[in-house]
Amino acid sequence: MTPEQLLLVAVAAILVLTVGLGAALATGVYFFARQVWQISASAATKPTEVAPAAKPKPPVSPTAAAAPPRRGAAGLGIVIFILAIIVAGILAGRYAQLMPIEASTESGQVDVLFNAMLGIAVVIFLFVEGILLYSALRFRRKKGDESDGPPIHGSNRLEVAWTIIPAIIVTWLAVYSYQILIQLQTPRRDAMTIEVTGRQFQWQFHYPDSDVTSNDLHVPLGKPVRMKITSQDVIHSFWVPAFRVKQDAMPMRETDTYFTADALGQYRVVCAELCGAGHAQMGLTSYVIVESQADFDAWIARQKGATAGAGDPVGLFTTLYGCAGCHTLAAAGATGKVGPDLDGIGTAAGTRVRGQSAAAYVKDSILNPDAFIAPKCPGGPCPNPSLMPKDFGTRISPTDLDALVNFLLQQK
Amino acid sequence: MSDNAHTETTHSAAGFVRHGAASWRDYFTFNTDHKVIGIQYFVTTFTFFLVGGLLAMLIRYELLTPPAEFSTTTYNSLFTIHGSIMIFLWVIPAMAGFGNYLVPLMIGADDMAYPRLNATSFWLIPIGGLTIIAGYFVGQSNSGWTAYPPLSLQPPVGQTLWIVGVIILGTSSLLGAINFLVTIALMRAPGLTPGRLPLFCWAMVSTSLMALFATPVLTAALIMLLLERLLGMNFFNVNEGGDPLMWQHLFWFYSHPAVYIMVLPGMGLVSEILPVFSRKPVFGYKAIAASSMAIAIIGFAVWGHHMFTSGMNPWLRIPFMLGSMVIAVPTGVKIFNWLGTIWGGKIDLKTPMLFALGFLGMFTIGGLSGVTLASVPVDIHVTDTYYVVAHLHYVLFGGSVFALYAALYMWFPKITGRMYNEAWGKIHFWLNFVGFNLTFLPMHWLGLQGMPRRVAEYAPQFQTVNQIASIGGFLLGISALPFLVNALVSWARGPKAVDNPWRSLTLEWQTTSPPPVHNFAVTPVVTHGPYDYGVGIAPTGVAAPAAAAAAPAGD
Ligand code: HEC
Ligand SMILES: [Cu+2]
Ligand SMILES: [Cu+2]
Repeated sequence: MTPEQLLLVAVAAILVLTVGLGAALATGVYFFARQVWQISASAATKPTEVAPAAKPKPPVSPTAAAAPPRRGAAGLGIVIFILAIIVAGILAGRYAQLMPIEASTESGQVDVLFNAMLGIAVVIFLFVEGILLYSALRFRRKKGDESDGPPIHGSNRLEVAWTIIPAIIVTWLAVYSYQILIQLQTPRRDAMTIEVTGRQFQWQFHYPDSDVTSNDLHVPLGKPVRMKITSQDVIHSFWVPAFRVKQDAMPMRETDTYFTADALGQYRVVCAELCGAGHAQMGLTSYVIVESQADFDAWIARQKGATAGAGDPVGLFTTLYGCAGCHTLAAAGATGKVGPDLDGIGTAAGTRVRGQSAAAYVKDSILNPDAFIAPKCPGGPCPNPSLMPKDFGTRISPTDLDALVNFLLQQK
Repeated sequence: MSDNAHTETTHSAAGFVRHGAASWRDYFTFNTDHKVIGIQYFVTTFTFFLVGGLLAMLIRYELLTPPAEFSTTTYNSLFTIHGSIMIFLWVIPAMAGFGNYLVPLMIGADDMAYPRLNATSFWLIPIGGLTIIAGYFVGQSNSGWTAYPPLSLQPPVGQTLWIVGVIILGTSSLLGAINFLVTIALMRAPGLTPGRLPLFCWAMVSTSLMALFATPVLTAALIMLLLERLLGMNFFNVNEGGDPLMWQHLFWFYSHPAVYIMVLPGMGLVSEILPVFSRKPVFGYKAIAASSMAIAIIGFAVWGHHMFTSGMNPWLRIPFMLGSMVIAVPTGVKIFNWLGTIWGGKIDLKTPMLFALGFLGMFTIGGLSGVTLASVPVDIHVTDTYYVVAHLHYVLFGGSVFALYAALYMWFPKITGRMYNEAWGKIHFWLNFVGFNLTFLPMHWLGLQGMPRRVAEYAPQFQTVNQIASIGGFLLGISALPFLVNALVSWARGPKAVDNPWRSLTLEWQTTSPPPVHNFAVTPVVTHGPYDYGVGIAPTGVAAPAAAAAAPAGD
């Protein structure tokens, strides 16, 4: 199916749904109203009704009542007010700097749209608050005045105006947003694919072409990139504020998003979906590094030489198995704050479980976290059951496991 | 109408059922008097509000500095319980409290249609509430008030209790909805035609219809989550053929309408207050009533805007965007009609009016940021950030809570028979207003700049603005004190109020304050609209009654 067909189907589905629900609701409203009318009718014909002093309903037209003798001056005031708030809206849309640095071609498009909405919002905001404040100041009751205001019940003309004008504005905004969205979500054929996996609590980036794995996202300047996003455990959300792209990472499923970085520099990669104890950390430890194609190629070449494996326990700890997302360990430059600080674990391990050797304890901690809950995590006692993933037994190869255990035992 | 009105005996055969309150003890019973139940709702929900507020201050305390002070699990649990309390135990039931207290009085009935069902709805609230809060102590639930699986399938036992608690609270709200619909349909006083129905009652009709259609969906989803947690049924587990996205669809199918369930009654309350303190009829009565209905219907076709980055079919985002933008139109209609109501009136800035105008001003901001969130490209950047936190608090605090405060002041003399202290009321308003804006306005900027929500730690560049928000938060917390003291002292020994201190024309003011057990000595006959100011209709009960003997004792 082409996207356009899909869209049609989607619109149709939503329409059917709205109509269906609308019909259901309308039926409810109908029966409700019928009850109401029946009772009103019977009430109205009740003889008990004391003849009311028939409500004097003077045919006051709102304009007549609201029109003071100085109608011209009031009209001028309103025109000046409207002009002033429009100018304020234009200035706000043009000069307000609420968005962060723009580092991708997409960010520019999103910001133009946002600023347009900001300008409109400022005009409506000033209109409403202006009238509100003016009324609160100008139409105050005088002390001792017990009389009522004019009995104006409404104005059909105004009602139509403030239904139609906002309807036009939001329709225009929807069309405009649609045009930008189309550009954002259209696949780019020349894009380079990078895989990103969210896991508790670390991002892992993988470059399929070179089989390089990393905790930071390196991208070449000006090259369209397709992020292939997934998660190992719960839902995470891949967000680069400087690029204005965000996409949830769903477990066992692939989602994607596109961007083209257009400003050299280093920006944060954030996790935007609550994913557990280390959620905040996930937004503070990864960066996207935008570099020239040459620098990027050089980086890839360097990484290829140092592929994580049994010979590189630090790589296993930080990048491949994501232990660093939860544990602090100076020797690996890890700063995770969910599980215990592993500096000195080589000494502590032998004292944890009576009769269990240090090596056996460390191994058991990884393969079977709930067997023994470590006493101290940052911020208090470690929660029971353990927050550590329970599936390392199925994911770590025996050689990697031995390398990790030996590495940890050296941390005296 | 009196044939429909049924008189409950004070003590029923069941023994523990009571009707009316003679002493404070009766407020702790299974009482079927809608006024007693209303007060039970107010006191219970306000207590929960204070608890939720204290949690909010702990959250703002944590955010004074970038690194984490508390353990991150504790922090996650704090905002989970904060959100759940504020939504399920304060705003939704507090609105139901006003529905309970006001609807029968406003329509000239002697009680709700199903008094025992009504008492049941109330007593489910403390039970559900304590279940959720117990969850905090036995094993902190910490997946947020949205409880997305798979995170909400991970261990803490508190999560199970949270699910059970929310199911209980949803049931309460569902039973209430049925009761309101039947009461308004069947029990109106003679002459109270639909065109004369107070707008608050119209708002309760739309709200109840939404609750009726949406709540069962949430309950079903919660039961599935519970079964998956307890029996491993894998509804949301991809490895076993489930899908976490399904939870999001079901959850938001309820929770987006829930936003309107929380704010429509507030809009109704404000629609009652503005005309009284402007001495003018409501502008566009029909438009306001009809826009509530429009919101109730369109409100069911926008839930997907919570899921623009979720990975659902990307094209599906477009119709949801359209629906979300269109729903701004009926909302705008209300705002403009309220402006029309105060325009040219004789405005008296008493505390209820200050809060009602505050509602109008603040809710507008929440509505405008809501339109920006409806736009998919912008939402992709700001969803799950502090921008959303700012938006939702402008709608739910600046909107619903301001309306609740306005209503608590407005009907204080009706409920207690005494006047609150006006000066302290105004101090409360201004502290609340400044604290509120100081807390939440800067959050828009935080979100746009890149601070995600639900984090105990944040990047150093956000510290100053977070500190401003925290100071605002503490101010907001302190601002509850003048209200609390004012309410308690005035309730005990405030000056006696006349029956109708605001010279209002709606029915609830045409009886004594507080009303007698069966509300009206004689069933009233309605001969004019609720807001017919300016045509010389004299409101009753505006002077101190000669015979103050009409004391509202229980029987
Ligand atoms: C999701 C967070 C998380 C990840 C990822 C994680 N751990 Fe843990 N780890 C914990 C927590 C929490 C504890 C404390 C509770 C317990 O004993 O299981 C812990 C405990 C430990 C302990 C025992 C510490 C002690 O002081 O007794 C060791 C050893 C350990 N982890 C090693 C690892 C290794 C190696 C990896 C990577 C293969 C890893 N962890 C990945 C959270 C994590
Ligand atoms: Cu995450
Ligand atoms: Cu996260």
